[in-house]
Amino acid sequence: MAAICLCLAIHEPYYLRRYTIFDVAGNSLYEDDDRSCNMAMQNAQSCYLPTNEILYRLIQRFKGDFRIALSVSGSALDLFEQYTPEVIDSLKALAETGCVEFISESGPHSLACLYSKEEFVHQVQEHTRRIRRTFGKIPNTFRNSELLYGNDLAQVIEQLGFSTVLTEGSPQLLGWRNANFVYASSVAPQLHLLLRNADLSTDISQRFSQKSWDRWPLTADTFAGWCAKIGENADTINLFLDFHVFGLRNTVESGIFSFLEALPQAILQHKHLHFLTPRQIIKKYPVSDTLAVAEYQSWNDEGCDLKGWLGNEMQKDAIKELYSLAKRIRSLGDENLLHDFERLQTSDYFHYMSTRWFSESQPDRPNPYHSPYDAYISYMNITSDLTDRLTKLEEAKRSSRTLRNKAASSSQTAKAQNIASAKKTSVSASGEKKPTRKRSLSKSPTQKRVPKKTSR
Amino acid sequence: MQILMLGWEFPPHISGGLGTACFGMTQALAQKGAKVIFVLPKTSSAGDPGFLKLRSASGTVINYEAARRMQSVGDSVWQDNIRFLPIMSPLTPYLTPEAYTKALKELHQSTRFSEETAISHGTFTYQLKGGYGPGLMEEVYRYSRLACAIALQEKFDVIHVHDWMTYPAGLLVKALTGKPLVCHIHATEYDRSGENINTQVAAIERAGLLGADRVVAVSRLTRDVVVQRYGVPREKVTVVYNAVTRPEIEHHYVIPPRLRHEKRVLFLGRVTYQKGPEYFMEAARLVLQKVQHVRFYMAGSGDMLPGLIRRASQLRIGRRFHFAGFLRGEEVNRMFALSDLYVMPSVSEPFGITPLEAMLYDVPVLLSRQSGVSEVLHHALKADFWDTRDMADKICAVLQHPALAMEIVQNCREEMKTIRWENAAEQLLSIYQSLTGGN
Repeated sequence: MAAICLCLAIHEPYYLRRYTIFDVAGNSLYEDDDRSCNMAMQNAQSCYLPTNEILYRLIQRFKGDFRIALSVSGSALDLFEQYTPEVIDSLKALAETGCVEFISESGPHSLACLYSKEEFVHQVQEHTRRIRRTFGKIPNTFRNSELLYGNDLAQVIEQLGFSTVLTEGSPQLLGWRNANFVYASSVAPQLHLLLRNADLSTDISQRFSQKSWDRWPLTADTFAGWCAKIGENADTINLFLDFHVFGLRNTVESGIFSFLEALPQAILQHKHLHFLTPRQIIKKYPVSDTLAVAEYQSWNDEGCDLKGWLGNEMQKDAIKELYSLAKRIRSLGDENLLHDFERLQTSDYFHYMSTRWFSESQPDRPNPYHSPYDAYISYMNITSDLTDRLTKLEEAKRSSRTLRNKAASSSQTAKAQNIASAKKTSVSASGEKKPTRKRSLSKSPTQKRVPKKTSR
Repeated sequence: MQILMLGWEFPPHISGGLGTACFGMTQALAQKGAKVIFVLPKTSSAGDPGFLKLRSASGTVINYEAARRMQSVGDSVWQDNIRFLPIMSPLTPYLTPEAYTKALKELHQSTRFSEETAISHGTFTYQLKGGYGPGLMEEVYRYSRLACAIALQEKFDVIHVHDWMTYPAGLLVKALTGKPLVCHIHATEYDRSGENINTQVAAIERAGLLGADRVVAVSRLTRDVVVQRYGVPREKVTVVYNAVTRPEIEHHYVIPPRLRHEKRVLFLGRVTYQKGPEYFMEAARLVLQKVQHVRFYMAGSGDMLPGLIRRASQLRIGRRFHFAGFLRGEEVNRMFALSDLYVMPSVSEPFGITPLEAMLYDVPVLLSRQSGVSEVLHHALKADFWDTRDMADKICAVLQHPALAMEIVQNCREEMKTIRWENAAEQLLSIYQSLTGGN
């Protein structure tokens, strides 16, 4: 028996404005609301709503024999909540069927794990809580943005309480092995690794609409036939797909929805195949081997490396600039600042700066900028504004603190005098303490008001 | 393959990008085995590059026989197609109304300049001055007759003419010899003058482009102009991009120590409407509000220069905005090499070779989207010429983020490897071959 593990990743970025140097310190409106809204509505209509409906029907029809796993990024949830709450409802309906496993990730769909482990941990914990709040499920499986994974992360993820990580089955990692078994991390043996079957996954995600492909058009039966053949000598076939595959990357005309509708039946015809989710798979199948992932890898089509996000100097410069603010922003704890800081971490923004973009753009995830250079310029202006805001808030806090300290030190000297006087006249000590206490209490409200005024 | 090429500029007889383009093109054609006879209005003893036969139209003897044959076809070419009779006029490209009035006055005061010289009975010649001086139309007319006389002496398979000054000559030679005509368009009248076009020039352009067997445009932008304005069938127009020849840069320019903490932004080109210098100045004003330690240089001359100098003083940016005047040879190289950013804010630029030259010195470039060269350069910054805020934002970014300049330069260097005259020459050769039937 081999499992078909269908994991769909939902992620939508907020679109940023063309933010110029003349906006810096003038306004802090970074997002292009119109565009974000349009894209959200459009994608809901052509992708999320129809696909979720099909998935729901299939789950109902196969009564537990068809199961999937879903991950939803925080920015996608924000967008849905803001513009298309019906998508959230359709996801909740899927959650209620009990046949959908929810997978956790970092909320802003960030690359934080590479630059700040604390930031990463914080984001994952927040997002896990949010998934539980929204869908009533406690995620047990983790997938990072862009399926990013390396040895470095194994222990962190394990300590966060996950038992499984999804990542890419890259050829350099696998060597003579293949992706169709359950593996464990070499650094954290309790952590299971499920590896994407790159061939079968890209058959659906990339090649499905390519008329030049010699297997075009692909039917569910043919595809199930390939799975069955592999399934004869495999434990799990992991199909990790971008949710955009349904209706956006492959349009309605390509026949992707009919493919999806026919897939469970076609797969289940083969007696040795069944649909399982990651949580079930690690219970059912033993660990075949341990894997060491020395260098970070992703599900980037070319080379499974990080070059799409961090391949050039602009990308590195931008991300370093952003994470150099991490500690200061966290310790300040200003809510608006934190919100913007997290939003700016979305990996898409760094992908827009890729100079390889000219050759490898996905029409369903368009680069809103004319060129990677424009993306970088805009982003750097935004970070510069963010830094400016941060500095101003810090200054305000510092000046209020010095005021408070002054007040505190003056009351301390008063106390010291009290104590001295108390020593002199021990009998009247209790009587004398009262007025000093009163004085400090009466002062404190005015002290508290000071920081508020300056922060405004 | 023998090509009779008619052109108005060729180094060192040069005024702008046209000559540079002709040089690179013919050099690459010669390397591919083509024989080029290049007819200039006038040559000096200085320049014969060796890879082609350079001929001067000026002073070529037109004998009785040639004159008679020309007469028979010449009327139809000039009168029917162009509906134009040569008159004495000081028209030159890039002329404002004020300058025209002034030039006309001067012309009337002076005597006629290029006299017809009768050598013997029925044999005569003209002397041409070349360039774009007053009486250009007259020169164009005479050039057409002289070029014909040369054409009758030479053997060739294709006629290839560059820009409107040589189109009448091309049409005449085609009518005389029956050889196929390729009209190369480097700039249209609409690029040079916006909507206030010189109708005579436009008429010549139209006649040449419609009469040609094939039109070569330097960019898709120019092709669109040619198709829309002159009604040339789209399938007749081929786009062949210009390129740049990498010179051996012998001199290494060192930035003077006192300037090292500053950045330099360069505008280099004619200070005329077409090149958009006022947008450069407006962008400079905006940049100076945000960034210190930057200087702007405007190199070149033109009719808008006095006005812009006044404007700079009004804006109180003169301390940081410098006018370098018209630069030549070595000075141009030095200017490029010392710049941190080259800006080409052209209102309309059919191609624009200077950004490629800037890139040879590893200088990042910012181009207007309304330029042909932006079609081939993916790794350059681009802005609409009228959007000075966007332009200023990009200038600031290059000055402030070394990573940006580095990335642009690196990628441009790669891109430059594909922008070569060899590719253009190959395209041209296949055009010639399709016209001559593969000879």
